[in-house]
Amino acid sequence: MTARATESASQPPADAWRVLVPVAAVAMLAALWASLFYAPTERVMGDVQRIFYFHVPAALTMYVAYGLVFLASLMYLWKRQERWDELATAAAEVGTVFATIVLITGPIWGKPVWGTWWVWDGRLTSTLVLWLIFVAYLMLRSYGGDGQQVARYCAVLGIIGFVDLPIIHYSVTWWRTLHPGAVIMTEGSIGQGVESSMLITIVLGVVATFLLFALMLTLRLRLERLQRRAIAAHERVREQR
Amino acid sequence: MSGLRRIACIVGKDLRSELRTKEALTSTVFFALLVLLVFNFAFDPGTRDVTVVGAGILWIAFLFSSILAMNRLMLNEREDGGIEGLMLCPVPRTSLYLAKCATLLLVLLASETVTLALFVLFFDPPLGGGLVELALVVLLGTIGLVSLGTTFAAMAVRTRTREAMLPLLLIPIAVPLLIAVVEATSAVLSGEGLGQEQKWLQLLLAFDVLFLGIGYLTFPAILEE
Repeated sequence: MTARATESASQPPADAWRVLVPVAAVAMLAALWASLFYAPTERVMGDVQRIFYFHVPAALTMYVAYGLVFLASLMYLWKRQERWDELATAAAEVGTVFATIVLITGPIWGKPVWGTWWVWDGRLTSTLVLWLIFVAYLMLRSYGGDGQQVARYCAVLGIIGFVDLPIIHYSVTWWRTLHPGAVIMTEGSIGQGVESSMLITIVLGVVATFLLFALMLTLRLRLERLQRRAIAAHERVREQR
Repeated sequence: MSGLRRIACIVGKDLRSELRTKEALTSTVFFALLVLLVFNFAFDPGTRDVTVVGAGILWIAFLFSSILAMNRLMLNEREDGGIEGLMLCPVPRTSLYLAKCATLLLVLLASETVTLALFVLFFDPPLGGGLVELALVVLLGTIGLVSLGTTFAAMAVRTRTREAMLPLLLIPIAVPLLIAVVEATSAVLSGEGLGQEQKWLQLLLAFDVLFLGIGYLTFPAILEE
């Protein structure tokens, strides 16, 4: 454990976050402005529809993050390099933040439009289940035991959880569905049926959210590396005594 | 020894030790009986249509009692260096997965048969001639639970929270399986049969094949020391 921890800890922590802070901040402000002032008010739903400009990008980001957990888990089981485990840890945590944002913004929109905070619809249910899987993943991270054991266990869960996604999707969709279907990318056409300023706003939202995700991920990764370096240093001191 | 015979040896050893104490069998059957009792008070299905809530009651009894059995069988290996002994056997780790799955499946099928008989006795669902179909659904559903349960129980007993971890890992992943078995079982219990519900059987089959495959491939990574 000590040998592995030192090997990865010897790499300097990534500094990309210094650049990402101003870039992500500007993009977030631009997306906020566009969603509140630039995009027109939706005819039927009214102002509450504007929450889409953050709800949808957060959902996309959640899938990207959990996709990263899957890839990093596969790579860890294959290569057994600690950096893949660090990436999986960071992506799972940040992904769960975005999943939580999706689950909070959804009901805020659902109450005025559907008349209820929550319905047991296909997409809502599968998002909740996905969130639960990764909360279990984070608990396994906390209680899973020593460094390499917890890394292996989490890699297995990361793979099982991601492979489960399409099955969860089909099972709950067959069960029932009410969530509005995809409006932007329907079969054969992209962007038809949506006001162009709305489309621009949502693209801006996606870009801003991805930048925010990249920033959070690099910061979390940096923290994880520093933490592991501290643990390795602590163990070295103890061995020398 | 061929691969299958090695697996049969380990299953034989596990079943022998289970039959001596009957720990997993008695605790799962008794627990399932308690679940049936609690749901009888909670829903009073005598007055309501048992076809509406029956499938749910049955599968909650199966699910919760299977969690007990999974933990029991893995905790046995933890004591007295059992798992270390198994890992020293000249058997591939992937075979250990299949052996553990087989033992768990046999124990669960035995306890589920008793639970099912008690369920029919207490709630008297209009089964019609659906017993074979019901057996098929229970078999496919149990294989799915076993494929995940073996992996997750092997992890859970080595975490700091021990057996408390297993349901947290198992239940969210098993959601599609639970939806499928409850829908299919409802169709059988109401006497309609599986004619309209083929898709749930296909989903169960896909679930079983997929997670047995992943469990088989990843088990060596869980047992590593």
